[in-house]
Amino acid sequence: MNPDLGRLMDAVVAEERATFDFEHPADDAVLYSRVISPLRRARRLAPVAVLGVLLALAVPGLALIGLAGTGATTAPAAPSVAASSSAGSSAVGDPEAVAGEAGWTVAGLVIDPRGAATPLADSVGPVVEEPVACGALEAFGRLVGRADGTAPVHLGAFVSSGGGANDVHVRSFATAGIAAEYVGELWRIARRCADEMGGWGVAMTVARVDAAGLPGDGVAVAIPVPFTEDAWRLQVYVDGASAIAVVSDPTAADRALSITRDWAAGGLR
Amino acid sequence: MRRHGGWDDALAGVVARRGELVGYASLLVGERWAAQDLVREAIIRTFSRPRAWHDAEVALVAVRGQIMARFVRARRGPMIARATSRLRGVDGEPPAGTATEGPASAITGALWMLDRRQRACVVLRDVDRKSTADIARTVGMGADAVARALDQADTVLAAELSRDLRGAP
Repeated sequence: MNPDLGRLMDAVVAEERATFDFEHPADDAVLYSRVISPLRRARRLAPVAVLGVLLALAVPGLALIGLAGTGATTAPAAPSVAASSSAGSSAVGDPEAVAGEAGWTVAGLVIDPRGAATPLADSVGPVVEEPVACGALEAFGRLVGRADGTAPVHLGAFVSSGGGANDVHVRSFATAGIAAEYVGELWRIARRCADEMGGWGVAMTVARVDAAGLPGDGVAVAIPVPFTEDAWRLQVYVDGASAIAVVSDPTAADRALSITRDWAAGGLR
Repeated sequence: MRRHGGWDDALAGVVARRGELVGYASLLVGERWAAQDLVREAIIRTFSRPRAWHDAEVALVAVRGQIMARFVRARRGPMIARATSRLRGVDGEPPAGTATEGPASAITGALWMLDRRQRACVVLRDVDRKSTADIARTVGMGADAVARALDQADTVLAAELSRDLRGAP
């Protein structure tokens, strides 16, 4: 660091601030709020499924597994409520509920069928907007694609009191082979995304799911959020033909392994 | 009483400190009006995400991050562009001639001699006090490339500032 340059630039910031504050004594927050409110509303209500199809169409690699095909369009309607509630979920827990049922509880949080993770670009910022392979990761987070006559099911999200969500989708593929190919395709696209992000200086991680006792295979992806210690995370795990995907908001504790273990231990498939 | 799940309180805190953000942005873009536009866009981008903002300080850091991100990668979608233009009236239109007024001080003038990434690196190092690794992550360059960019920038800035102090053209 150059202390002289720092001092000079701090002085510029102070001078510009004083000038601006003198010229703009009014409280303009209401005006900003009026402009921003409709944008927030629009983004909350944006049909995530349509976004996923658009992203998939933009990625040549996804055509190989048909993400732009019936898999995306036959998926259940995306939830219309994003995980932005400051109050967290109001869903009621049921200690006897198995994974996938209403009342399913993990780490004290009850799954909220209306909960959902924040979109990737909104979580991580504009840095992920350019590498097309990265945009496709959201589609994997919803287990869409690979037309085999089956469709993903959105179970909901475990939403913390701070609003961070662990969003859960499950799917039973037609065969175990198709499920394995799906995970393999995720691995290749995530690696491509990581390479592209590396070019932007973002150190993204792509790893095999490392969970002792789990017999299946999976891929875990983490994209760091600039200026923070947080990361957007995706984990897709398959056991035979059954698959579960967990997307964790940067502001949420990563519960993907706990959720996956619960599900693998006998939840609804 | 405004009720938007708490984000509007953080927004009010950030809007009240726009002057500070404009000062920061002016280091990057040189001209005050361009800096104000960059700040408007960064505030809109930050708060239009459907997430909770409980703390103005946290939001302020996020807005600064957006300012830097938008400067390093100048790209703007149509929705944000429309929203930004709607707010231009809040700060007033630039008077005739201000679009070419140029940098406002010796240091901003010297910064103007750097390319965009060099300028971003210098501001991140000397204003945000970030490490080389953090700068590399932010501007999307390798750590070695950041070190080289900072060396080159320091050489240019030293020459520009000393010439300015001597009063030479």
